[in-house]
Amino acid sequence: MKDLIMFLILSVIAVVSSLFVFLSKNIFRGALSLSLLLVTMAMFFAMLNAEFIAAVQILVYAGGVLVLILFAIMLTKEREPSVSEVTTSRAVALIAFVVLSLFYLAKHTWEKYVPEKEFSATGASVGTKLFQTYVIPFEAASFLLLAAMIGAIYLARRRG
Amino acid sequence: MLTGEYIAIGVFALIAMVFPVITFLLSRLLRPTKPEPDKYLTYECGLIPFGDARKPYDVQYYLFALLFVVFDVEAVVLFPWAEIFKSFGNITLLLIEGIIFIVVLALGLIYAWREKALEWR
Repeated sequence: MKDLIMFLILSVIAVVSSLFVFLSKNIFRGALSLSLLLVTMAMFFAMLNAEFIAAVQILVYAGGVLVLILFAIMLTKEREPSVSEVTTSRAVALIAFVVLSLFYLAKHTWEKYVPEKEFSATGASVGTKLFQTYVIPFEAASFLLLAAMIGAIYLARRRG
Repeated sequence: MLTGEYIAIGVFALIAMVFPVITFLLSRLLRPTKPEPDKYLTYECGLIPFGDARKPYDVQYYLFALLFVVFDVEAVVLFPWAEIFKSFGNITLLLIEGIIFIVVLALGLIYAWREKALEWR
C-alpha cells in the first residue's frame, strides 16, 4: 500500500516533468525538467531494490549526461523555428510515438515487467554479471567511450 | 520496496524544497515593498546586463563536460568492481579485466593531454 502511494506520486511527477520537457517553450527549462524526470527514474529503481542502478542514474544521467545536454544547448544559437519545421517535427514525433507504442504493445505484455521477488541490482550482483558473464561487452564499452572521447576532442580542437 | 533509509532522504529532499519557499514568503511578509526599476537588474551594483543569456558558448565547455561524463561512467563501473573484489574467485583475472578497462580510457586521457584539450585557451 505504501509502495503503491509512492509509485503513484512518483508516476505523476515523472509524467508531468516529461510532458514539460517537450511542451516548454524554453529548451533550457525543458532540459532542467528532464533532470527531475531522471531523478524520479532513480527513485523508481530504488523502489525496485536496484540500488546500484539508482545511484548510476543519479551520478551519470542526472549528473553527467544532463550537464552535457545543457552545454550542448548553450553551444547552439537560439532560432525561432518556421511553421513548417514545427509541423514536420510534430508529425514525426506523433508517428514515432504511435509506431513505438504499437511495437511495444505487440511484443510485450505488462506482467513481464513486474520484477520477480528476488530481483535485486546491488553493486555486487551487477559487478558479478559485468566482470563474469558480460566481460567482452564490458571491455567493448571502454572502446566505445574512448571513441566518443577522441571524436569529441578531434572535432572541438582549434585548427591552425 | 521502500526502507527506512530512503524515507530519511525523502524527508531531507522535502525540507530542501520547502525551505526556500518559506524563506521567500517570510521575507515578503516582513520587508517593506517599494518597487524601483533598478532593483530588478540582474546585478544590483555591477555591470548593466546586455543582450540575451542564450548566446553561443565556447566549445571548450562541452569538451570538459564530455570528458567528465566519460570518466564518470568509468568511476561508476569501478564501484561494483571494488565491491566484488574480495568474493571473486579468480582475482588475477578480475584485476586484468579492470586494468584493461582503465588503460583503454587512459589512452583517451593521454590523447586529450597531447591535443592540449585540458588547457584553457
